[in-house]
Amino acid sequence: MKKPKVLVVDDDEAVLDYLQAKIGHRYDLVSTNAPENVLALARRHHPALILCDVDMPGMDGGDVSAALHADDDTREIPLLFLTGLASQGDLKRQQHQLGGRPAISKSAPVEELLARIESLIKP
Amino acid sequence: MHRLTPDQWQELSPHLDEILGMQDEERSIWLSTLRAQNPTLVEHLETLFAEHRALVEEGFLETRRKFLAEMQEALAQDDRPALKRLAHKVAGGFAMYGFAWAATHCRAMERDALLGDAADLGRRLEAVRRHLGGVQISYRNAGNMEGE
Repeated sequence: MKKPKVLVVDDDEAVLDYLQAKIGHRYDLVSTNAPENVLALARRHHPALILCDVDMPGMDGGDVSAALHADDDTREIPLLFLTGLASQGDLKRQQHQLGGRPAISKSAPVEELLARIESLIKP
Repeated sequence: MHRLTPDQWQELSPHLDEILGMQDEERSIWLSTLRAQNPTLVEHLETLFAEHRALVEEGFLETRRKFLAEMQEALAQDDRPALKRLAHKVAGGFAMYGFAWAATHCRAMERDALLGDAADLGRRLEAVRRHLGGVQISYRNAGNMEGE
């Protein structure tokens, strides 16, 4: 069975490596450490979901979200913020959202990350 | 990540030691042969090996040391926005790789980076640096990597 494609965005290469190791067996990961490339990659690959860091230099998660939303081709792609800004407890108090978008802490267990991804990917 | 029972870990551990000592091609052939007999075992082994590679070979610890050195430099230059940005980045990576103590300390440094006392920030940074210097990689019987 074909694995769903997930676009991963983080300026820290170690985070991309980690995600490849942890969830690469479940998803076909397209990774970039350059947030300014996200829109083009999303148009080209049409991922089932975009997993995006929040605090990145140049273009942060909010900018990425706005750019994706402004484009007809990418507006419907689910976006999950991956954040080091908030602890799991903080995010729980915010209904697991940042700026109205779903979010998960970088310290969340992999099982929780997988569950959130699955819940957002459209069948 | 598949969580492993102690029994599964006991079964996996010698195989993991074995594949860590192999070249890529040899490992690939070895795993293919084993997959025919025990696909679940091979799936666990591949995940553990990928984790090991991400942590050790891809230089996670190396890049953290580099970022901590950059934080020291930013503090020395009194470039507080740079210190804050780096502390944030380092904290996120530590959190993800399970370095809870270091992640918490870097998050606190991120919070205090702009207005905190330079000497105090320097001491905290040094504590994280020393902590990282003492890290040894081990594998717990739950099958997760442990960095602290």
